[in-house]
Amino acid sequence: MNVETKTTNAKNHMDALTVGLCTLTVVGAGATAAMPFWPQQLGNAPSIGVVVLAAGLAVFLALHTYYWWRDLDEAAKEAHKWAWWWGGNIGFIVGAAVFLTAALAGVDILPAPIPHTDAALIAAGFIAAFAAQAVGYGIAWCGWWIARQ
Amino acid sequence: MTSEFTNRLKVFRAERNWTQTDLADQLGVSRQTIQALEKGRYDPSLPLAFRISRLLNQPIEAIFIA
Repeated sequence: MNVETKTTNAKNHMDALTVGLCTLTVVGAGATAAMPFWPQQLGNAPSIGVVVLAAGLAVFLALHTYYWWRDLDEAAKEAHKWAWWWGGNIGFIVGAAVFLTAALAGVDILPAPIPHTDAALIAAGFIAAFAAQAVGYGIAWCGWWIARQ
Repeated sequence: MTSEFTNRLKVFRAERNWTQTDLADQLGVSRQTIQALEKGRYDPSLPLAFRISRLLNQPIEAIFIA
């Protein structure tokens, strides 16, 4: 497959995704009937439109990520893989060390308005770990490209 | 961060009066990738090296020198 064909195919895929997303939005806003066969244990049934929109968004995100990754050139992929491994792992380790040190030192990690429940603390730990990995990833990604310019 | 070999990519590109963007477009890579290649800070994969070789109509060993 030559470069021009590859670029055209990528654009067609993205156009198809955009049309699909617009259709989903219309269905999501228009289909207001309650979702049938909804388990009572899960509370009130959402509308069919909301369920279709949520499922469609998940598929859209997965396809968009697939096309985005496939169309990256090899150096860009290498930068992301390097950043994922080194930046993500080092960010996680540093973030975890800071979080644990702060927790052991008795620092109040959660903002005052948030109730200090177990669930809130677990969520704070998850968000801190994710944020630390994201920061590490971003720094490593920038560093990879800066070192090669 | 340097490559283990040098390359003459910049020379061959200049001979054709191509910009980095011209070369990048023809190879289907980004301009940043061409810049990294020319500065010897990124080693191309074998498929990309062959694409460069075909595009420049030069043997690989004339472009990438150990």
